[in-house]
Amino acid sequence: MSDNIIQIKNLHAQIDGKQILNGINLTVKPGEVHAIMGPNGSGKSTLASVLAGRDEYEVTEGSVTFKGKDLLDMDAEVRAREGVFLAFQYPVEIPGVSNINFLKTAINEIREHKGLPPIEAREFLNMVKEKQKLVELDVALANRSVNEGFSGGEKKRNEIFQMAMLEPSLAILDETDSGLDIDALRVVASGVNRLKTENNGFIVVTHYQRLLDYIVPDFVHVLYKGKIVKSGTKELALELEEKGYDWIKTAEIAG
Amino acid sequence: MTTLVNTDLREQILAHADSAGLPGSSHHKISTFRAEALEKFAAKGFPGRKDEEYKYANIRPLLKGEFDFSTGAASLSEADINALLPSLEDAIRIVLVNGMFNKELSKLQSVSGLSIESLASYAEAGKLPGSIGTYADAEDPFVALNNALWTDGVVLSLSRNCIVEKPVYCIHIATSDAARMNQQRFIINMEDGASATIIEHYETVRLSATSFTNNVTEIVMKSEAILHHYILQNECENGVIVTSTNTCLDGKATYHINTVTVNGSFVRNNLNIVLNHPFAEAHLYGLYAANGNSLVDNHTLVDHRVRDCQSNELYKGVIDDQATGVFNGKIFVRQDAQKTNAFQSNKNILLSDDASMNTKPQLEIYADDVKCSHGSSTGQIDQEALFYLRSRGIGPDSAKRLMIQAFADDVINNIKQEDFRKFVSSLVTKKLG
Repeated sequence: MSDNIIQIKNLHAQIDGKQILNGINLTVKPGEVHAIMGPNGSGKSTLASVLAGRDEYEVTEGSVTFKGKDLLDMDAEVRAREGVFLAFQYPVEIPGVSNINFLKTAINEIREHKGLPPIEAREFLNMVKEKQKLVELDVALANRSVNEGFSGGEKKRNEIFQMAMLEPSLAILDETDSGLDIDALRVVASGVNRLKTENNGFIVVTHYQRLLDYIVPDFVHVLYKGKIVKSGTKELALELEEKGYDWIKTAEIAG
Repeated sequence: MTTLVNTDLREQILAHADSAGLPGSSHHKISTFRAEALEKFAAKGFPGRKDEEYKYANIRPLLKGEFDFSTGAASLSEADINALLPSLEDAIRIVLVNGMFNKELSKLQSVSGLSIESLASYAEAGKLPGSIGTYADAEDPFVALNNALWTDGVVLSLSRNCIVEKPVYCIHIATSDAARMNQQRFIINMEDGASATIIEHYETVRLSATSFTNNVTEIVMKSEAILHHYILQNECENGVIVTSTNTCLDGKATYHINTVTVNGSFVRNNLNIVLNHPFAEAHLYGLYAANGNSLVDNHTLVDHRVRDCQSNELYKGVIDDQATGVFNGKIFVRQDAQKTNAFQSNKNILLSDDASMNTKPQLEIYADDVKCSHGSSTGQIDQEALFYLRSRGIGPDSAKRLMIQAFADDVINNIKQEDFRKFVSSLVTKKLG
């Protein structure tokens, strides 16, 4: 068993014949928060999608080891059961499927994968109550159809609520800050901070530094043209905020 | 008489018609009613592909071979029937076996204001219910056939302000080892303020040859009458069903109809509703799950004849394998029908590349102050939603099941009778799971 939660080595991926990732190397250890920043079209969301197991993307080179296992060999649902969670940039509306029923099904399939019996009704309800409070999600929303008619902020909060319920080892937040006003951002970020433990890790994909005021990263990586071109600590994010991405682009071309 | 082999059913019917010994034949009024209808049917025969109304529902290939015209009692036990039904202990039970009212297996109860009679006994006494032939379109070949050859059925009357709390559960059972045809008829009359829940449930038991059930229902509702009418079709692969349900709202009445088709090889439902009095309301729901080579065809017609009426329609289908679904929804808004509210929606999910759905909304509006809308969509399972569920650890099969169940629940949840709703839901889950 490795100490790393995830180890990405030389990851190359394409979609519809178009190469997007060109050799990503990234290791996340327990208790760490890694921010992935970068200009539009640099491959940030592709990286999140490839890790979550979206079928449309084809990995052409490299490896991803998740808690000692080959992640790329697993179907999306198996990755989730093993402990990968993707908070979607655009959470999907699923009419008629209640949030609660959906989460109970998910939890039970994850438990089955781990050889555990289905969750007790009372335990499940207590968990719902507790986690709802954590992300300040309206009780009424939890009982409604998945994301149906939710506002942008409610959808993102629902993502964090699901994350709280499923207790993943690795949470990937794909531009969770996009479309959020400052209050919603604070609620989402504080939910994440409360879920952070010594045993789990986070990859926070974001375009803006703003989110990182609330979720303080241990490491910041800049993605450009499908590669990590610069890594640093949280100060790097501030530098990016100040100077924009152009100096990275220039440096890359010069280098 | 010569043995008829490989002759189509129309020829066999015409050859047998005189000797059928049908109920009420000795009474002039009834025999005339039958004879006129038989003439119509003889002229038309069964519809084929060229008939616009039955374009996709070609029944002819299914009606080959020799049919048994006997009306002898089939042997069925109470246990056979109990095995098919939800546990509705207190329901008023009507059992029809091969189109014949079976009194021994029925569980009729005495409720003040409610009368339930066999149509055959009614006819034998020389009586013909006033509304028979009034609301069903005699030009439709299947209605003409039923007009000519009905063997039995149910006459159900609710007098003024009669409120029947217990559901009236009518089960139609086809059972036979020879091909046969069941022509049954329902007459329902509801006076002012009457209220009921009527369930029609189609099943097959030990059916090893084609069973062609041709049912005609005529319902008339007076002022403030409320009817919850549920039709459940769950026949085996030998089952062929054609229904014609004709409801006339002749007062400020409310009609709820929910038609759920779970199994059967060929199902054609004609639902015709006439809104004939201001403030009458009709709510139409339908769900069909078709797989294998089966066909489910729902034709609905809502005729807004007068002002201030409301109709609301939602039909949903899940089509798999090589199955075919058909939906044709007509709404007429007559010139006098101002302030009409009429809504229609048809949504379908195709689960395989070979499944097909033919949907056609037809709105004809002659009034100018109305609110009408219709919409139709046919698509596959939403791949984004599927990935979303999978990304939470739910396997693709259960993810699909969750989504399809939710799709179907939209219709099923409109069944107000709780035990029956749960029963329908479990049948649908079993079928789609």
